[in-house]
Amino acid sequence: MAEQPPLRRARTAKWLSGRYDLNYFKGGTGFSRWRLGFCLILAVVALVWLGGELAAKRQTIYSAGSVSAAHSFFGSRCEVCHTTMIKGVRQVGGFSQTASDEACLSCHQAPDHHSQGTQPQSPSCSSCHVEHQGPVRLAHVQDAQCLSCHSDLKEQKRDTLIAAHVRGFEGSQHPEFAPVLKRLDTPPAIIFHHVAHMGKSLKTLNQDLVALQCADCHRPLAAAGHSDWKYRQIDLPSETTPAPDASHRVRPDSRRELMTMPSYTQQCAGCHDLKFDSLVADSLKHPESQKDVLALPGILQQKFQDYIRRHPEALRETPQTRIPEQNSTPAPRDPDTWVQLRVARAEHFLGQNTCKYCHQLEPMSGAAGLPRVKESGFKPRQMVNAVFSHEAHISVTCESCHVFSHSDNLQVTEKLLPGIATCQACHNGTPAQEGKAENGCFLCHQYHKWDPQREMFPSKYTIEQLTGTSRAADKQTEKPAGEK
Amino acid sequence: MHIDRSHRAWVLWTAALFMLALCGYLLYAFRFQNGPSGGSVPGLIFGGAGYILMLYAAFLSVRKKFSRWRIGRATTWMRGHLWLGLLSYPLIFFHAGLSFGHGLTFALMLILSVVIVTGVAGAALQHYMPRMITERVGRETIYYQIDRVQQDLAHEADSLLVSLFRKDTQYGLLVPAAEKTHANATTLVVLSEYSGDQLRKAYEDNIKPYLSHRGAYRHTLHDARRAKSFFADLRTLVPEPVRPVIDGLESICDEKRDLDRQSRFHRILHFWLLVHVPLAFLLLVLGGIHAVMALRYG
Repeated sequence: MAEQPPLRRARTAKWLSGRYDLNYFKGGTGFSRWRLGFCLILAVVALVWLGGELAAKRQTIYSAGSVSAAHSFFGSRCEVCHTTMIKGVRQVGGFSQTASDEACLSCHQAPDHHSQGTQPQSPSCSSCHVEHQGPVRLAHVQDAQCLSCHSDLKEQKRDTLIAAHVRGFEGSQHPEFAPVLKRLDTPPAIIFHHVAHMGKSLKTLNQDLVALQCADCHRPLAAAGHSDWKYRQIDLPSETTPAPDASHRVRPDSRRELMTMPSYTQQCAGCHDLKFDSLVADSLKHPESQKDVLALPGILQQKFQDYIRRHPEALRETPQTRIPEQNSTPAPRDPDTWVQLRVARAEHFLGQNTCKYCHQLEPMSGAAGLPRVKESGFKPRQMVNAVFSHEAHISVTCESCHVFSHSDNLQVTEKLLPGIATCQACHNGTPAQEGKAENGCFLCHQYHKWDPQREMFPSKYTIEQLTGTSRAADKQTEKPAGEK
Repeated sequence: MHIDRSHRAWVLWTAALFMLALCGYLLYAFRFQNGPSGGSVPGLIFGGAGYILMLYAAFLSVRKKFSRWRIGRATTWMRGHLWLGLLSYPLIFFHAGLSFGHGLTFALMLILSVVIVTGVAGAALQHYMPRMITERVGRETIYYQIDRVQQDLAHEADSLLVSLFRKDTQYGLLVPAAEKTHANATTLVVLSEYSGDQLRKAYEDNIKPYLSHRGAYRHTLHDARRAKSFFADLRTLVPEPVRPVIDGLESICDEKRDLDRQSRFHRILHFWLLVHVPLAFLLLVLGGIHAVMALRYG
C-alpha cells in the first residue's frame, strides 16, 4: 500500500532547511544586475555628453561660471584667454591652459600702479579682476585687493605721502580728503565768499538787480561755451558755440564730470570793473599773469598820457585824495609830473584796494610799486588722486554738498570743498544695497596710472578671431556663383 | 543599519571635523581677497578632502565584494561610509564657495546632492525598517530565496489536496486520523461530491493562483481578514476530520502573504540603492574629470 500523504503541514527543522539553496549568494541577483546596469548606462550617458562637447570643441562645461559682461561676446571661446603665451606667441599642445597676464595684455593696456618710488611686485591681472563670476564689471575690484597694501602702506613704502592706513570708507576708516585738509591749513589765494554773492539782490554794472545762481558761474566743461556767461566782461565777445548735432551725440557724462574754472572776464567782470582813477573812465583789462601785472605801470602811464593830452586843463585842478600824505604833495606843474603822480596813485590804489579785494598779495616789490599776486591755485580737478563726476550726481543740489556758511562774517575762510562726511552720507555700503550706495575703492580710485598721452595700443585680434564667426558684412558681399 | 549608541564616536568625530572645516571656511571666506573659490589653495584642500572622503565611501562596495580581506570590520566600514560620506557634502560645498557652479560643476553638485539625499533616506530606512519587518513579517526568509520558498509552498499545498482526493474506497474518502489515536490509524470520512467540487474549485481558482504568483498584492487572499473569512467558509464544506487540511492551506497562504510583504519591504529598503550607487559611481567619474580639467584651466 502506498504511503499516505500527510493531512496536516509537517514543519520540521530538517524540512525547512531543505527549502533553501545554500549556494544562493554565489550568483548575482537581479537587484545587483539592475544596479550595475544603471551604473553603466549613466557612465555611457556622461561620456556621450562630454564626448559631444569635445567633438563640438566646446569647453564651456568646464567653466567655473559665466564670464563678465565685457568678455561675453567671446565667452564660448575659452582658448582666447586660456592659453599659454610666450612673448606674444600662442603655445599649442601643453596641458596647462591657465589664463595668463600675457593673454590679458594682448587685448588690454594696463599701466603700472605708480611709476615712481618703490613698488611691490605687481599682482597678476586675474588676482584682482576675477573672471567667471557672472556678468559683473571686472573693473569693480574688491576692496580687499587695495587694502592688502593700503591698510598699512608704511610697511610697503616708508616714504609715502599717501594716507598710510586706509581700512575702508566707513566712519574713520578713510582719512579726510587731502585737498580738504590742505584748504583748511592754507586759505585759498582767491578771497571769495559765496555768502556775499548768493541769496541777495546784487547790482550789476548796468545797475540791474540780480540774484546769482550756481550755474551762472559754474558749468560742466562741455557746456562752457554753449550760451553766454551772464556776468562776463561787457566788451567781451560772445563765445557761444553751437550745440553738437545728434550725429555727434556722445555719452551723457562726456566732459560733464568736471566744472569750468571761474575767470574774472567770464564770471566777475559784469559786476566788478577794474577802475583805477576817478578821472579816467576806462577800466583795466584783468591781468592774466604776473607778466601782465608788471606791464600795468606802462599801461597806466599810457592811459594818463592820453588823458592829459586830451584834457590839459586837468593840470590846473588841485588833486584831492583821501590819503593825507598825498594831499601834502605839491600840485604838478607839467604833464609828465602829473602822469607820474597819477600813475603812483593808481598803483597804490590798485595794490591796496582793487587787487586785494580778491587776491592774496605778497609784499610790494620795490620799484614797480605793484604787489605780487599769489597764484589762484584753481584746478579743474581738486582731488587729483580720485575720480568724481558732477554729472553722476546731477540729481543732488549743489548746496547739498558744497555747504557754505550763511554767516555774514567774511573773515571766516570758506570751505566749500566737500569733506568725506558728505560722501559717506550716501556712499555707505559695499556692495550697494537698499538705502546704501556703493563705496568701494574702485568708485573713486584707479589702480592703473593711466597716462592720457599714452601711445596707440597695437591691437592683435580681428572680430572673426575673437568671436569665431565670420562677419555679416562679409557674408553679404559673398555672392553666389554666376551672379553679377 | 541601526543607528544606536555605537555610532556616538563617529557622530562626535564627524561633528568635530565639520566644525573645524566650518571655522576654516569662515576664516578663508572672509579673509581671502576675492572671496572663496574652488581654485584657491584652501578651496583645493576642501575639494581634495571631500573627494577622498567620497572615494573612501565608495570603497565600501569593494570591501563588500572582497569580504575576506582583513581591512577592518564590515560594520566599521559601514559607519565610516555613512558619517564620512555625509561629511564630504559640506566639504565639497566649501570647495565650491557655497554655490552650485556652472556646467559640469553644476551637474556634479546636483548629483552629489541626490547621492547624499538618497544616502540619508537609505540610512533612515535601514534604521527603522528592519524592526518594522520583524514586527509585520512573522515568517521572514532570505530575500533571494523567496521564489524558491514560494514554489515549495505551492508544492506543499498541492500535496495536501492530493491527500484529500485520493479515492481509496467506494464509500468515501479514507483519510488519516486527525488526532493520533494510535499508529497507522485511519478514519473513513464521507465527503459529498458537491463539497469536493467546491473545495477543488476554491483551490484551483483562488489558492493556487495566489501561491504561484509572486507579489499578488491585489489578490483576495493577500488581505488577511478576507482570507480568514474565505477559509472559514471552506471549513463549513468539509467534515471535522478534514479541517486540518484547510488549516494547512490557510497557514501556507499566511506564509505566502508574509513573503509578499517581505518582498515589498525589501524593495522599499533597497530601492534607493538603485539611485544612490549608480549616481555615486558617476560622481566619482565626473569628479575626476572635473579635477583634471580644473587643474588644466585653473
